[in-house]
Amino acid sequence: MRLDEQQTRSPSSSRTHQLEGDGSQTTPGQTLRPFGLLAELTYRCPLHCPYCSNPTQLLPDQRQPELTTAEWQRVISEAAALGVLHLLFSGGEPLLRRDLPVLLASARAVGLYTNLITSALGLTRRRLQELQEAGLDSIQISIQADEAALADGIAGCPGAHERKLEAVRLVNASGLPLTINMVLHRGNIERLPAMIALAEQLGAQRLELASTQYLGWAFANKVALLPTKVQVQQAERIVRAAQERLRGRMEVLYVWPDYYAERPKPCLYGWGRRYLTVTPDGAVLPCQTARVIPNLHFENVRQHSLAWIWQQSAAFERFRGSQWMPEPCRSCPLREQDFGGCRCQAFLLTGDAANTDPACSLSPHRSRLLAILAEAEQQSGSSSTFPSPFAPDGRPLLPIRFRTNPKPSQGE
Amino acid sequence: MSMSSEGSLLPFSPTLRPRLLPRARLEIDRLSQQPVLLYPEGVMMLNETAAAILQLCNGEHTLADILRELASRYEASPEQLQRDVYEYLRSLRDQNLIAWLE
Repeated sequence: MRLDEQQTRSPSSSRTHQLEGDGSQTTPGQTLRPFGLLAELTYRCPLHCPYCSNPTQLLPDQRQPELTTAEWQRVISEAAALGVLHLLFSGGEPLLRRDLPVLLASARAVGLYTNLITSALGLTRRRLQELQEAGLDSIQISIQADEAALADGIAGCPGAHERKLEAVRLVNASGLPLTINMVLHRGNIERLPAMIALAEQLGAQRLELASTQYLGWAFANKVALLPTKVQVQQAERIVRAAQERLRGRMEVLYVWPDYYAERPKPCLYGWGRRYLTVTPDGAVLPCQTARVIPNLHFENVRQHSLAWIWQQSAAFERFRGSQWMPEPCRSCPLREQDFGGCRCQAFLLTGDAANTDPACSLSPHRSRLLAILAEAEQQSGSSSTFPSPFAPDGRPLLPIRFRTNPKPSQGE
Repeated sequence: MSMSSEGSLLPFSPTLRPRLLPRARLEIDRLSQQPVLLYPEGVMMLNETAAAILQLCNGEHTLADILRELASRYEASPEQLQRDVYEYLRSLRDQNLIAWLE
């Protein structure tokens, strides 16, 4: 899932409210409106993808039981009252929650557009029917590669790819709008044309080709997963051609790899400006990886209303506006466009979340990012292509930390 | 009508019937009470004209019907109206939000 690639277009005949940049950057939380809520129903997942955005570890006080059905229902209705229009059910694997249809129905009852972000493992014909009857608007299924052996190797889950393809067939038969999400990294980027062809063949209305963002598990595996600049440039050409060719048939969204960019990505269009994440245990975060930042206390829906957390909590206020920014961001003409980049990435690469994201070439800490690229580059020798971290049969060829579930928790 | 090279990507025949695809949903935004188009990871706040066009994109009305209907509601030259409506529908088609029925 890539919330930070929000797409809006304005009809010439219409004044539209663009999600990105409406001039309200310096207004306080009271007048900021969240448009999307990412509901992480559980951290449990049958897949072990080494680029997962879930936390690599949870502190003892973060290992609370999952929110109950009633707690989620309260969160959903509070979100709608706060202005949220999109509810993304994610995880972990949200299908592991038996109460998913109940939560969907609650979301639809308050007019939210619902999207299920899923591995599709466990999506039977009956389950799909339940979800549709509850009012699910669209479904996003992850596919790891174009061939089963490699895809299963990346997901660390034998048989997963074939089960996904079966689930896609069920989705198509049901008429539910389908998005395919493919995360790009060194283990599959050379397969991109075949991956796009697979998405076409699967009948997706939307294809997300998302370069790995080096947060969560992906940060732990960055040296194994980073493609070369040549690979990235080649991928971009392939994506552009596909976007042109498929226009009007399949929307192709590309998330560019910010490690190879000159300017950082406008991460979620600013901290606490457009999006909320609620974790399985009820913590409310500006983005799904924010708990990696130390010394920020994220409030919990078990203690506070969603509105209070959004509008008043210190963690949400911390990086709003531009007052917190150091140079070179503070005086940069782009500060209201890219918001200084990603706070989590700034922390992971510099040790301080308030620094400029080193994905910006103006960052004084740029060398940290370049050192990582150099470290990855060493693996390629004189070749322009890094060796894939996976053999064609899916065996890992490099040390890779596969995602594991946090300690099992009780709850629904 | 004139067809630019970009415009020729769209079948402009006035007998075609545009239909909003199931992946997009027209709602009323509860904070602003304005019409809003929702689709996967997208939000489009609509003005009155855009909402009027979308409400007519139900697969029943032809493009000619839609233009006639809008002309009766709004004061705009037919050329201006046609240009705006086509441009809007093309942007919706490019985002795979409408289909054209023959």
